[in-house]
This record gives sequence, structure tokens and C-alpha cells, in this order.
Amino acid sequence: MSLILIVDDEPGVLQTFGDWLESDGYEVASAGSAEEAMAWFRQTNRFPDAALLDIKLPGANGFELADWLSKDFDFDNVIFLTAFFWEEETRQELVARRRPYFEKPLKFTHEVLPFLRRYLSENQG
Amino acid sequence: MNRQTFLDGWAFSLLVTLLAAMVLAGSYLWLRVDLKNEALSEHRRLVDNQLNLWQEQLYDAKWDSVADTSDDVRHLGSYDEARLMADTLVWYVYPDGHSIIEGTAVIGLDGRARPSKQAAVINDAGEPLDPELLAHLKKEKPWLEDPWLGSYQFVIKAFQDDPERESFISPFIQAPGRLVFVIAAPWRDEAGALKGAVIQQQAIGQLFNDVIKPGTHGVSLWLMDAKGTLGVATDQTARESAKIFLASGALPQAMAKGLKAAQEGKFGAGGSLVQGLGLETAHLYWRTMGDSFIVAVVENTAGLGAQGQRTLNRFGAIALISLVLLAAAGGAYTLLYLRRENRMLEKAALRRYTGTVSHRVRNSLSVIRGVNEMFQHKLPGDQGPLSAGLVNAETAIEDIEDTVRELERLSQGQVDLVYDGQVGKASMYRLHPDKKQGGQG
Repeated sequence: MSLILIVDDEPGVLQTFGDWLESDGYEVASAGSAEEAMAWFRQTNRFPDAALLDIKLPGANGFELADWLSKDFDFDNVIFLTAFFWEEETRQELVARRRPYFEKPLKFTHEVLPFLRRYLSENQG
Repeated sequence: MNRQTFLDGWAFSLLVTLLAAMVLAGSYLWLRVDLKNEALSEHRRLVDNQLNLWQEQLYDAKWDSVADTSDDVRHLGSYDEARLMADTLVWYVYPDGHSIIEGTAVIGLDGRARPSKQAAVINDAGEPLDPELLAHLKKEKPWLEDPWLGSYQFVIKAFQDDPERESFISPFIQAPGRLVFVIAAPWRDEAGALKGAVIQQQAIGQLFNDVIKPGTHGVSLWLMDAKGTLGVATDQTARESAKIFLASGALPQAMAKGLKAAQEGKFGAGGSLVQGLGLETAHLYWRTMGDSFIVAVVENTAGLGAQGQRTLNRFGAIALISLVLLAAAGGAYTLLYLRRENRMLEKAALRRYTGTVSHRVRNSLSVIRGVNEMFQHKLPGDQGPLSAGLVNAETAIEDIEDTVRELERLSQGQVDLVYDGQVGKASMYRLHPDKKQGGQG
């Protein structure tokens, strides 16, 4: 069973996203901030198959968290979530990083779940 | 509106007005000094020119008389005295009665005019004056037919004292009703013995009226001889000035300078000094006619630079009006600036707020859409009104998403807010219609 980590400071989003992923057969872990996510990585022996990182977070943002994970744990399977794709600075950073991203509000049935299934299948394959 | 912006705006307007006021005040003060000095210099130049002119005219009047008397003396050597008197030594009185020369006469060693009654009051055609005109003139000048002094012994004595002397000019002499002075040339025989003299007698008042008065233009002026006898003083200021000048001992010094200047072939000496007249300070400008007379113009400083003061007052009025207009314009501009600044601040605040709203709404929509999709996905088959409601909710979510995107375009400046001012109400904005369609989502 694939393990997916969700990092978002909005409890409603964590809850809804978690429910959807679990209903689709994934194992879900969640964190409300970058620091919390880093602590989870240090305490857990198992890496997730994918980490969904919200960009705007209290404290360090999602981009910084991705950099830490890559540097400290050599983990790069991150997918960004953002409500700020309309913001020029955020959009340019997302394009430069060449990582998958979902724009909020999330469309679970038509975008998020189909993509995740394909993404995990390709990475595991 | 931000209180600081309000204060800054008005402070700037006030500062600009104050700076302009300082510039205008500085200009006013500078011009005040400059104009006064310029007017004073110009005035002094005019006074100097006028005094030089008078000095020259007095010089000419003196030497014309000296030349006339010398010519008459030469004629005495070749003419019979009686014939000479008839031909030349006549007393012309022109119909207007204006003549500097009161009379020309031959005087003997006894100092008496000979023949004192022989001179006739005639016109320039050599004919006796009309009795009515003569009577009219005699009302003002009772001495008209007999202007002579009792004795001219002082003339004879002057020539006897100095056998080399070729001319004589007397100080002012009080004659009935007027001051006169006498110019004379000696009449000597071939051996050099003095036989008498030819004199011309002139009235100071007439000299002043004919030569000096046309150029006075109301200034205070006095005329004095070398002995300090005041011949003319146009007003009380002139009388006071002459009195102070005499008391100060400046007269002998001026005459000494005049004598030296005459010896150098000049008309006379000149100078200026400051006098205290009562509470005021006066400027005195003087010229001598050789070492015979001194003519002076006196002016108090309050009167000087009057033209400059008038010009300055006009400038001051114009500057004041300009300043008021500038302050009014600055005030109007500041009001407009603050209103515009106020709107800009409102716009900026709205833009920032739209970004925050967008973030919050997108997160909330994620939850609502997630739940909505979960219902639609998990409900088996058609659930009637519930299924229709979920579809409507989906449509509403999409409408909200469109609104959020519009806010985001606004936040990014891709569309603009247009201010629609409404009288009596707070500001109201709408999206600029031209840009609304052009934004990038």
C-alpha cells in the first residue's frame, strides 16, 4: 500500500484530502507545517511514496521544505499544492522546479486521483 | 486617509508657499535697498547736473557783465561821456519787466553815479515805456527809475587799493526793497590813474528768478555771498540749512576752494555734506561762483528715493498677490493630491486584501469541492433532488472560482479599479471594462 504524506496548514484540506486518498486505498500521513513534516521524516523509518506539499505554510514554505527533504533525506518525490498559482513569483518558481503541482481548489475525481495513480505507478514501476 | 499622508501633503504645500514667500521677501528687501540706492544716485546725479548748470550760468552772467563794463570803459576813451551814455549806457527795461541788470552807469571818483538820472526806462526799440506800463512796473519796483545806491565808493576804493585790478564784484548789498550786487570795470587814463568806473547793478531776486528758479522743481535752495549774506532761500528748510552752514564755519572753506578753482580756470568749487535739520538728516550739495557766491540745494533723506519707494510698493503689492495666488493654487493642488492619494491607498489596500481573500477562499473551496465530489462519487445511482443539488453546488463552486480568479487578476494589477465618486457617499470602485477581458487567469 502506497504511503502519501500531506503537508498543509488548513485542517479542512488535510481532512478532506486524507479521506479521499484513504478511500482510494492509500495510506496517509499528514503534517501542518514544514517543521512538523521534517520531524515526521526523522522519526519514521519509512519514506512516503509521494509527499504533497502546500506552498504557503506558517514558518518555512513548501519550496524550502522540498529543498530540506532533498538535501537531508535525498527525497524528491514531492508534488506541490498551491492557492497562489496566479501569483507571478510562485508560478515562476513552480515552473523552474519542474515538479508536478495541483492548483487549489483541488478537483479530486477528475485531476488529483487519476494523476496520483499514474504518478505512483510510474515511480514504483 | 492616513493621517501622516494628510500632514505630509499640507506640510509640503506650506513649505513651498513659505519658500516662495522667502524668495519674494528676499527680492523685496534686495530691491528695496537697490531701488533706493539707485533712485538716490539718480537724484544726486540730477542735482549735480543742475548745480553745475547753475554754476556755469552764474559764471556766464558774471563775466558777461565784466565784459560789458570793460567794453564800456574802452568806449569812454574814444567817446564823449555824454554821448556814450546816450548811445550805450542806457537802461533797457523790457515790457515784461524782467531784467537781471538793474542799470549800467559811469561812476566818478566821488563814488556817485554820473549821470544818475540820465538813464531812461526804455524798451528794446529805444523808446520810453508806455506810461501805464511804467506805472504798473513801478508798483512792484518803486526804484525802477532810480535804482542807484547812495554811493559806490566801495567800488572806487577797491580799484584804488589794487591798481592792477581789472574787475570787481561786490557782495550782496541791501538796497531799498531788494538785495543787489555790483560788477564794475575800472576807468583809467593812459597813465593808469583812476578816473572812475563803469558799473552794472544786478538784483539777486531777479537773478534767481531768471537763472535758477526754472530748475529748482520745488527743491530747497539757498544763495549766499562770500560774506554770509543770504540772498535767496526758497523755504524754511533752506533758511535753516543756510544758517547751520554759516554757523559751522564751512563758508570760508568753500570760498577758499572757489578761489582756488577760479584761479585754475574753473567756474568754481563744489561739494556736499550732511546736515542735521531738527530730527532729520539732510544732504547739502553746493557750488560756488568763483569766490563770490555759493548756491546750495538741501534735501532731507526722507524725500530721497521717493520714486524708488513707489516702485517698491508696486512690486510689494504684485508679490503679495502672487503669493496669495500661489498659496491658493498650492492648497487646491494639495486637496486634489490628497484625494488621489486617498484613492490610491484604497486601491492598494483592496488589492492586498483580494490576495488574502483568494487564498482563504481557494482553501475553503478545496474542502467544499472535496466533500461535494465525495458525495457525488459515493452515492449509488440517481438520488433525485440530492444529486441535482450536488450538481448545482458544483456550478456554484465554479462561479465562486471565477470570482476568485477575477480578484486574483485585480490583485496582480492585470485589471484596474475605476473610481466612481458618489456625492455624499463613500468611494465605490468597479473593474475597468477594457481590462476586464484582457486578464490572464
